[in-house]
Amino acid sequence: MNTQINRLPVPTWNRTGVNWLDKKALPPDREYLPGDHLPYDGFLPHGISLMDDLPEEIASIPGGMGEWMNEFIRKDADKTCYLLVDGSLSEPVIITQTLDSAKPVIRAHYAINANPGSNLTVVQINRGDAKDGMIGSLTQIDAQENSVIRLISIQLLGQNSHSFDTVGARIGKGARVEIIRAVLGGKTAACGSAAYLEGQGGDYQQDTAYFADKEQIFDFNDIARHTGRETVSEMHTAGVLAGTSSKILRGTIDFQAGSAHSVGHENETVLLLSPSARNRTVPLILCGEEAVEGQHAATLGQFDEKQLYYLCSRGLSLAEAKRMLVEARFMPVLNKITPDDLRMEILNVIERRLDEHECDS
Amino acid sequence: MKDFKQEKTRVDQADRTIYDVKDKLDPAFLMDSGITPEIVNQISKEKNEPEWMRLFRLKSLKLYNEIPIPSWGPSLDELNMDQIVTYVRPKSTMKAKWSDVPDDIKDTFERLGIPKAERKSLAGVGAQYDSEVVYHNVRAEVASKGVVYTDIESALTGPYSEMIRKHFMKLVPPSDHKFAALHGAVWSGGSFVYVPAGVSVEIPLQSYFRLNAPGAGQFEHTLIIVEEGAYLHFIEGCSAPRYYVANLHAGCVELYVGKNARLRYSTIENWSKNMYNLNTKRASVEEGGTVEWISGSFGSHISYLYPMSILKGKKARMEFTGITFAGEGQNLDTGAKVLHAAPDTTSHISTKSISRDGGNSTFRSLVTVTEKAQGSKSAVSCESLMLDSISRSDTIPVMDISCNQADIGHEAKIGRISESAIFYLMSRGLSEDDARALIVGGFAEPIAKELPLEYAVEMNNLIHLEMKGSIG
Amino acid sequence: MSHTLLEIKDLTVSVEDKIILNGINLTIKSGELHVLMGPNGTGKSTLVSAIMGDPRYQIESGQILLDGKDITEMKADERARAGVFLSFQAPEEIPGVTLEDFLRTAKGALEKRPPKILQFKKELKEQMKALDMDPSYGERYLNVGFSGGEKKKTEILQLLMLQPKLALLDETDSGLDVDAVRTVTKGIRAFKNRKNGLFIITHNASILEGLDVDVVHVLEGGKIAYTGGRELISKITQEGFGVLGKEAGFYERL
Repeated sequence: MNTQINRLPVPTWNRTGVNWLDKKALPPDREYLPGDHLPYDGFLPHGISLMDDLPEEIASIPGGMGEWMNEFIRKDADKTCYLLVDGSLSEPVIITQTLDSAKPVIRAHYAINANPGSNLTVVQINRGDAKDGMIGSLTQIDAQENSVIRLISIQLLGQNSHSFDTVGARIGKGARVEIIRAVLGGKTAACGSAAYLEGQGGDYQQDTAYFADKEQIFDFNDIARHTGRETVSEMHTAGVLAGTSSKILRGTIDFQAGSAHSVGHENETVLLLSPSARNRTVPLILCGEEAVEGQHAATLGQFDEKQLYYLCSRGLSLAEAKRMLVEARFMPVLNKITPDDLRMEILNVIERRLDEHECDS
Repeated sequence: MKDFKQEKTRVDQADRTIYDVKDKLDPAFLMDSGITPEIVNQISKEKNEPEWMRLFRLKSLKLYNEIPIPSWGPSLDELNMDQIVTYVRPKSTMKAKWSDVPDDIKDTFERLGIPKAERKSLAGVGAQYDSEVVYHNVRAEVASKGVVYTDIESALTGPYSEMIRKHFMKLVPPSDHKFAALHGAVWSGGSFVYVPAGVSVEIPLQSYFRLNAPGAGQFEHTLIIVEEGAYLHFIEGCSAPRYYVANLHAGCVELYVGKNARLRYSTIENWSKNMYNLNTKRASVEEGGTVEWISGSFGSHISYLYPMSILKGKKARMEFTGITFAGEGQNLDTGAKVLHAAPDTTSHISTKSISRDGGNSTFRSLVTVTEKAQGSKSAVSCESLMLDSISRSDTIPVMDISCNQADIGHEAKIGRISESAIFYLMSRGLSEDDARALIVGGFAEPIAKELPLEYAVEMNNLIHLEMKGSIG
Repeated sequence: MSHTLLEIKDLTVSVEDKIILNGINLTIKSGELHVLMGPNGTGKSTLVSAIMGDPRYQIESGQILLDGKDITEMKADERARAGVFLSFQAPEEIPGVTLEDFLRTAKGALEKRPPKILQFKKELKEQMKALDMDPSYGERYLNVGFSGGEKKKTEILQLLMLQPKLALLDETDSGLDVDAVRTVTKGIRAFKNRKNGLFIITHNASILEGLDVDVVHVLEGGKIAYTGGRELISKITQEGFGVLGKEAGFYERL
């Protein structure tokens, strides 16, 4: 099964273990009952309506984790939320899922059908904990001409649960999709996002912040597929690994024929706070088009001694200086998170966990 | 009205006939196609090898039959192993003097410019023709320093046999992958170099390999040991005529770099464009030692080539500088691997690739930093140039870091020749073709300048050949 | 004998379907130095780029003649070989190609045979010295990592080495300190003779010190609005382009 989840778009040496999902991050071996497909019944701002059925052209958008995960969540979804967006909305839709021992498995299927020119922010928050608990979400986005969709996905699960978050976004002419992720919790957390830049001038922005410690295992598979002309993708990831945690990030910019004059940038910074953490980064650039510009950069390692010294020379303790530098890495992502109290909550979680790790760095 | 829209110049397939010189096939010994234990035994017997080598070959053959072909990389579907004659020995035997080498063999070398290069500045030449070493010469001054440069077969039975047994396929075990196993079973020919401690070999040692028989595979083995504080520059140049049957090259290079020693290993590969180049190269570097790889890949139909450096001693260093030029019908999958297994080790990988005319180039790399490698540094930078929209260029790097006291940087860029740069050069009188060729030559310059002059010239000629337009 | 070097007839130029120059007429005779001025964004660079044959600029109508020969349809390299040279406002960086190799290649392309190596090296050394350039620049990659001033000096070095018939200088003085402007002016003076012509875009009178300016053109609204003598320069540098409108008709002779 793991060979079908988070597949690297072009495989490499099998010994590196990056071609598929880390085996340890597979869905927990437990009973999965058929879901009720319960439609969302929370608050919806004016301009948004729920669709009873999902049009096939949206239901067929593959998420970044692959077809297997699409089916796994869609077929037996416990909850559904199919949004039809018209016009420009200033108020976000905020949906929270909470795991507990009474509800240890939640499979949620989201769809956002953004009509031309519409504008919406959706915030997905996953919390709670349960033994062998599992949250799986599939989000399918169809951003039609000149629409703007912002998806903020916050994962704050406890250390017994497993998280699976797969997103597929079709980006039409002049449309823009932003995905902002903060991945903090879970015994294991697997994420995959795929953006299909089909229309001319489409724009994709992805910002991810993660913090892993103890024995957490994170596994990402992010893809920006350019098929339209003059499309842009920006994928930025900042993370901290402590304890005996491990992480794989696959990030792929794929320029296909026809994507002339497109630009794709990808970068990652990773801070390893412990000698037992393991980081694997696999940044692919695939190119079948001449007139494109693709770039990738990664910096992996420790604190910059010069920065630490500079901050300490201004009176900060070493611990304070380190905390400041860690927060600085997360800031570009955190600044994009709304509402404000959610951002503060995440910041507090990070600070609390940093305090636990100061000694081992 | 004048429309100044830029017309894309179509550049025709370069005239490669001067590199495609083919001789009449006249082997003294031609083996049945396909590989069986009997064939392996026969190879071993022909060579009068020690028993351990025969057993090693048989063990490798078993592995070869067990290991599947790679599940990644360019397709090998059209490579029919059964059709490849693994062992073709020319009539000639070992020669010490150039004048004794048979004329038709000499003629081919001459057209490739080898004797000239030899006369000028070579310390010694081991030129491999088909599978046997036919020509060998080490200059007295190098030998007098205790440097051994010989073909590996004679070394196997000579005074260095124990040293070879200790090192042969220890860095690249036959279990590494299918073609390493194949190599272990049928290897033939190649060089053995031993540089004693403290000896600095001032002139580069060179070796030319080429394939000549249709359907012949080439499995030469290069084993180089550079002892403590010694220095060597070894140059491997490859070129082969074109044939219509799939040809396989599954060579193996093992480099042992001692404490504080330095080894520079340069290669320009220009196999004919039906060749499968599945070559395995690996170096182990002791404390304070340095391995430097210079690698130019121009030829072959399909290449899998990722020289690996194992930095096992404190402060060991590796540098890799590579260029790959993929044209029509070529799928060149090249790159480098490095394993940081000791503190304060350093690696620097810098590559350039060019794709044109439907060619497919892939940069593939693996940087592994173990827990033991505190204070290590690694920097990878790869740049790719796409010359048209029917070609492909992929970048597939992996970084596997298990050390919190290491600095790892990676940069990849892909793009095309800027139209404004072409206009700038044209405004100084260069034709568009020449402007493109000049820019591509400039792109390759950081690699060219690492090569000895005659090789840099050869590489520039190759680029200009590939780019058509010729410059002054 | 002075003859017509450059003749531009009713030239209309567009960029991305937008008309930038609309009916330009201009004549430069051999031995003459013309200056082109005008507010920012009026198309001064467009004019010299169109003369050089920059493919981004479309010639909608009109003609460009060099020595009486129509070069309107020619590509940039053909124009260069016909004798046109442009000193770029922002010269391109070409990694991996040394300045010396590039100049030798370009000279070979213009003269249709490779230059004699020793003579070329000697000439290059002298010209670099005259421009206060460190000889090591010859070994550096063309414009890569050069400061703004070094790039401009390199353009003038190319001008002196390639000896075109017509030199177009697009704000070669911008971003230069006083000493560098003086060096550039010295280079221009060394270049100028009775057979060649110069067409200089500038905002700064100091680059023209010690040079005989024959004609000054002011470009406005895609047309040459005023043409006059050297006195136009001081008038504009002191009082701005606005002053010309008030005295309309006085300078206009088109």
